[in-house]
Amino acid sequence: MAQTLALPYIESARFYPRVPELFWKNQDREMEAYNKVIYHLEHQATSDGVKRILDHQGAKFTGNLGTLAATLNRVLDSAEYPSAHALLEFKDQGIDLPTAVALLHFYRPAFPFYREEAAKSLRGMGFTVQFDRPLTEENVGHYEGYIAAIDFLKARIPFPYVPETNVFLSRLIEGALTGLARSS
Amino acid sequence: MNPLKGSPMASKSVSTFEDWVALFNDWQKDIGYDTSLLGDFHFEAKFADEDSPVIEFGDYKGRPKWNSYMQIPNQQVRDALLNLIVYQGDTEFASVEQQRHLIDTAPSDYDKKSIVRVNAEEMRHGWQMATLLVNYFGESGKHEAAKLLERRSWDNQRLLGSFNEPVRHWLDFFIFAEFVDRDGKYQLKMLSRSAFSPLARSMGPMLKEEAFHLGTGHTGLRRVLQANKIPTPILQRYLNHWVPTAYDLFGKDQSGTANWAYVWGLKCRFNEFETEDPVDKNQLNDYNRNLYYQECVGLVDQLNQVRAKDQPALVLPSLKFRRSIGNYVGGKYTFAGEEFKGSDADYQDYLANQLPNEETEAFLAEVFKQNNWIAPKAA
Repeated sequence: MAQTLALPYIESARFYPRVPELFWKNQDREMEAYNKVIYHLEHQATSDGVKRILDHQGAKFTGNLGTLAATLNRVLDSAEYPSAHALLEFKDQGIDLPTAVALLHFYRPAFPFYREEAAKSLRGMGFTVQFDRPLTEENVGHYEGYIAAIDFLKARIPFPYVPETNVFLSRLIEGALTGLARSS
Repeated sequence: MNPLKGSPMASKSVSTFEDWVALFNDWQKDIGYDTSLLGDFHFEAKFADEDSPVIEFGDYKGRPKWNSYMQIPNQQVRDALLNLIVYQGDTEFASVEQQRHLIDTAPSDYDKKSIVRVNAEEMRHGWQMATLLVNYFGESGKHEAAKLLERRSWDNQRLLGSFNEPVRHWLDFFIFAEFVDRDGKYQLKMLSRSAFSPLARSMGPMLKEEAFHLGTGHTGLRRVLQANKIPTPILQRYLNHWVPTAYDLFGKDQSGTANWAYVWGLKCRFNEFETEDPVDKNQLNDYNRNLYYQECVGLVDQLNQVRAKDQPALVLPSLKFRRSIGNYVGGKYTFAGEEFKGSDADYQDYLANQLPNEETEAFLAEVFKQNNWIAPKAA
């Protein structure tokens, strides 16, 4: 047990100095597409906003955008960081968990994208996290575990390794984790 | 003078931190801050792990850091420390007062989220300083913690000049976040190795949050330049207005206060643990100000790279220009730092042409009515 607790402390300490480089490298790949979404959203979710996010995610969605936007507004009203339970509102709407998280993220950037690469990097550091696409209650719990791991890193990263950027710290860490997986 | 005379806040005193929190809630109402915007933001004091259990610079170097008021060697040191914390806390609440009215005119919803986040974190930083004052500095600390919420920026009562200047619009905000908040980064880092452990441990979380504020300013200015709707000569005037106030925040060139703060291990140089330069305790403020200046030169270079090719390059105002304290007070210099040859009246005319005025404000008001003054514009 002691070993599993110690590993994230040791491995994350190796990760922190690499955060600026990994983050900016990932930004080079993703920033333009990201900004095209985040700066174009209204306060309330709309069909147009939801479509932008689905396109950004490359998600195939055949349902009604208006219904999805209305659901997202209910989620935004009830989601309280770090609980992700509200995402269950999207159940049976034809989107998977990472897409549901992306819808939430763009309106509430403290919730990090749920990405396989970032989860892989976290597991590499000794965190017990899972990445699952189906939107089920159990998997939402897995996403909350993923948030907790990112919160661990957010709380402990030394300030010299936090780049000056206008993205929230959750996105910064998640971007660096994604960059780490892509670089290895 | 009690600025709150007659208001519900005037008669309240602070015995416990809960009392201070009640004052904080009253302050939010009094300045008209819509707290519903803060959502699930949680106000709390955050403390990082200690860099070192022993004092790392100054005359007490090598001795254990102080964890309580009684461990601080003498009253002079306690007073100096209290003063540093009060000034830091004052700037945090002041900046929220300056920016609170910008929320309604945010150019995008993400910009709105960003400024709310900045405001929330500045409030948290003030909360952090109040935590130290109330919990570690006895009656005088409690009194000072209350006063943090009694002074008002718009009544010119805040302790430092930059924080009494109105932040009129989003261009002001981006410049403020880029240059005035950047002074905050310097102050926080210089306190992050303080002999007073609770203060030192407060700085890491604050600096991490400050990185977002600085990034918001820099990105905002880049977007303004990319949109190319505000000519750089106009933008230059706003730099000329704000940047010298940021220089002044570092304090007098030869400062006894900074000297003692170093000697007592309260506040070091910005690059204390990265430089081989021998310390000149009589020039600490100027030394740090020069580091800040060099960093800002690099930032302005970056901004110039995204300006339209037909626009003149922006220039970081000289350290000699429009200074209110230090060796250059009262001198006549151009914003580029050259000595101004001409009469006082000529110099006033020169300044009038280099600073914001009613015409530039009217021009910006028209620009802001369009949806395209900042990139990326709404599609």
